[in-house]
Parts: sequence; C-alpha cells; structure tokens
Amino acid sequence: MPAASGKADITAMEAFGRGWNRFWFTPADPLPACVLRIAVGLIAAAHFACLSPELDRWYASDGLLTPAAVQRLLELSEEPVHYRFSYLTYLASGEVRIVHIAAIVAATLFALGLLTRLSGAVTLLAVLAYVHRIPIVAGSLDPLLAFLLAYLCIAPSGAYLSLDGLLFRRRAEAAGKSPSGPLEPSILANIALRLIQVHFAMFCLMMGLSKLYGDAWWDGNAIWILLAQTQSRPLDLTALRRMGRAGEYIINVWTHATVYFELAFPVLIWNRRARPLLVCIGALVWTALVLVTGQLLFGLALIVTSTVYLPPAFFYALLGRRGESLSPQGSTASATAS
Amino acid sequence: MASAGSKPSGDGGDAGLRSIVSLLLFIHLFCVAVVLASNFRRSALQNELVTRIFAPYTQFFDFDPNLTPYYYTLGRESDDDATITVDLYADADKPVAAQSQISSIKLPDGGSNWLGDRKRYFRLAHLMAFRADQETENEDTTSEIARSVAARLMREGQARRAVVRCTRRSSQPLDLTTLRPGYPPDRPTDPAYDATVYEADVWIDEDNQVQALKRSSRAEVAPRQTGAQAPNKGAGS
Repeated sequence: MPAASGKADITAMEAFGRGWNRFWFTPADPLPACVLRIAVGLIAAAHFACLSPELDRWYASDGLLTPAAVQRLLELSEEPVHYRFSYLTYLASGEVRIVHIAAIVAATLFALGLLTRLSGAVTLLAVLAYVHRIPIVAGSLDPLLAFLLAYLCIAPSGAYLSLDGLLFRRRAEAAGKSPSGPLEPSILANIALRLIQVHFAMFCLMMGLSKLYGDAWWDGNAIWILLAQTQSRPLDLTALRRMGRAGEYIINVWTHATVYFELAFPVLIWNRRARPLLVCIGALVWTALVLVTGQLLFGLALIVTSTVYLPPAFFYALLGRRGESLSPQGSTASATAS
Repeated sequence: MASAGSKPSGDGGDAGLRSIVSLLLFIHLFCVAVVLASNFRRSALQNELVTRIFAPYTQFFDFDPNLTPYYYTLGRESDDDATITVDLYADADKPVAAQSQISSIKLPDGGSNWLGDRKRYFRLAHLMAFRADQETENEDTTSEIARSVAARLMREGQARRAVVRCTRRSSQPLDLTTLRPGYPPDRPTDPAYDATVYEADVWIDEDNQVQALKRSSRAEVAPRQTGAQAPNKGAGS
C-alpha cells in the first residue's frame, strides 16, 4: 500500500508539473497582448490627460497635500512609507507639467507600439509616480493599470499592430530577409497573458470580497446609496424610487449581481465554455457600475482586461481577419497572419 | 523578440531557466495573492507579511491597493459624500469676524464625476470627515489635512488666514417614509442634510509657518448638528 501510494503521489506530482509547464510555458500568439497594449496605452494616456486640469494643485510639491503632509498622513494610518518613491515629490508647480506631458507622450507611444517596452516601462513609472505622490487619493484605476503595464512590458506586445512591427518588417524587407520574426508564438507572450489572467482573477475576487464587509451589499441597498450621493454621482437615477416596489427590486438585483459576479468571475472564468458568457456579463455589470460610480476609465479597463481570457481567434475576428491565427500553441511558429 | 521569448517547442527551453522562472512566478503570485486577500482587513500574520516583508515589492509596484476602497460604500453614514470648504481672509492677525472674506472655495470646485478628477477631492474630504467622527477621531489627521489644504489655497488666493470646514451630506433613504422630521423629502440637497463635521482656523504666523486650531466641538460649530444624524429613522435601515 505505501508503495502504491508513493507511486500515485509521484504521478500526481508529475501531472501537476506537466500542467504547470503547459499553463505557463506553452508558446502563445502575441496578438491578444498587442491588442491589450493599444487599449491599455490609450486608457493610460486618457488617465494622465484627466489629471491635467488639477495637476499643479494635486501633484506639485507645493500642492494641496505636500509630500511632508502625505508622509505624516501615511504614518498616522500606520502605512509603511519607505517604499513609495515619486519624482513628483521634487517638482514644484509648473515643473510637474513637463514630466506630465512626457507621461502622456510615453503612454501614446506605448499605444502606437513605438519603442514598446521602453515606452511601457516609462508609462508604468509615471503611473506609479502619481500613485506614490498621494496614495491617499489614488483612484481605482491605478492598481489595475500598474499590473497591466508591468505584464505587457514582459510580453512582445509590440509584435503586431505597432510601429515597432512595421519598422522591423521594413528593415527585414530592405535586407532581403523574411520578415517573420515577430510573428512567432512566444513563451513570454504566454507568461504575460497568464499573469494578467491570474492577477485579474484575484483582483476581481478582492473587489467582491471587500464588498462583503458592508451591510449595504448584503441587504441590497448599496447601489441605492451610491445613487443617492447628490454630489459625487455621475447620473441622477433616483427616479427608480418612483417605480415603487419594482424600483427597489431593480436596485436589489443590481447590487447582488455586482457582488455575485465579482465573486463568481475568478472561479468560473477558467471554464472554457463559460468564458464568453462571463466576459459579456462582465461588460454589462461593469458598465452598470460605471453609471453609479462614474469611474469611466476604470470600468473600461475592467472590460478590456476581461477579454484577455478569450482565444486569439477572437482578436483576429476583431481585426476583421476571421479564420487567421498562428499555429496551435506549443507547435513551431508559422506566420499565417500577414 | 524571436529569441528566448519565442522558443517554440513544448519541451524546449532550458529546464534550469524554467525552474527559476517557475519559482519567481510562484513567489510573485503568492505576494500578490496575500496583499489582495488582505486588502480590507488583515490578521496579524497578514499585516506582518504585507507591511514588512512584501512591502518593498508590492507597494512599490502598486500591487497592493490597500488605500483604494473597491467597496465604494459599506452603507455607513461615514460613506456619504463630504466636501471641504475654505474661506479665505487677508490678515492673519485679525479674527475673521473683523475682516471681510476674500473668497470661499468649495472643493471640488469643478471637474466631472465621470473622469475621476472630483473623486480625489471627495476621497480627501471623506478621510477628513471619517477622522472627525467621534468613534474614529484622529485630530492629527484632520489638522494635517486642514493645514496643508489651506496653505495651498491661501497661496493661490493671496490670503494669510482661512477657515477650513468639512461638511458631510447625508443621503436620502430609498424609502422616504423612514425620513426623520426636518429633512425635506423632495429636496435631497437641502441644507438640512448637511452637517459640519470639522471646522478649524488656519493662519500663516510671523515665521511663515502654517498653524491650525480646531474651532470647537462639532455640536458648537454646527447649529444644524441635531440634524447631523442619518436622516433615516432607524439606524439599521
């Protein structure tokens, strides 16, 4: 018996090892990472642009919360302060604008796919600089952008739909070589996409779990409370109250659906058949959440990120190249995509 | 791009490199899982891991969204909208009653609720209001915010004295029959719903240092304070 058990353990370990290797180290088509790069770059550029009107007031060293005040507030909330570095700490009103423009340019270059890894790293550095300058008021979008940018810098996300790819092919053609280099399936693309998938699943779980602490998310009133905030709500949807009991039920369903979806998503998304349905429901749930929270870019980023679970064929179809794709994962490269 | 990153074979790649990458992936995802799982509440063990051991990595890369409220509301009175108003005065040495007001700035003073720019002001005001509440009071936090915000606005407005006021607006319940008397059901923006939760005098002294002095207890500074409780009749409703 012990011998049989030991053999079974070894087999289980081997199976786990094979599964691990298949999950992380199977070469994957970089196209999903490239499409995601464009979306993330544009969202990051829009995010920076949204900071522009109040830039000096918030982020200059002589802003509403000075670096010393931020440090003191973090200490008072017993947050560690030593690992927060921001170059904005050293820049006064006016100077901040120069690096801010550089951040917008970097995010735009990342979306365009020019010097992709470098522009991605600079965009990430800029996102982190705004977060660390005043973490107390950092928005919901920043942590999502941070990990998306970090992982997309790992992937060859400039392989397709990018100026880098265009320049590479031009150079290869000029040299009389086959310009098929960047179109190969890539292990790095797979690692990056898998990291995004796993991290995003945990992120959704965290969003769902944090809501469970509040009574309002249990008794179905959380959405109403957000709608009733006369100063911060983006839309006045309080007319739902005039619908009487039906309105109350709509609010209850809206509240419960948000929590249940965020708790179910990280579990069910790993089921191949459930994926398209979950991505569609996610688009609905997060759009509905944008209507009450007003976090437009965050909602957009959630919807865009959820597509990372879809197969490359979806992205080819999105580009009007239905039926095209690289050879199946794990096989040698063959660039069927032009 | 076509080198190590695109080694195509299923069995391919250096096994040693693969082991190292696997270890790094495991460590990374373990750190991320722990910080995300403890985003809202932490055990002593999680606190030790998150704030001491993982912090140089997870905090620097913002993998730890500890200060971001992804719950949006927990249904507490303290989750209602709060704003900061700063009244500016020219002379630091005269009391505000003895001089005319230069201007009054209510934050947020512009922007859109769709794009997040107003959210930063609400988050700051929310923190101030939360730390002004009796159960979670922390005068160091409120005075630090008051001084820093007023210092910037005094500089913008060429003023040397300011009164900083944090006001919370209670939200209406879904069922209006549960409203307390005195809260107009048809006007959710009526001043009756507003309660001043913190008020302080801030001025620039002769050494150019910004000083803050909380005015007095909330009951004394806000005549409407009797109406500052949640407008619902039942606490749990």
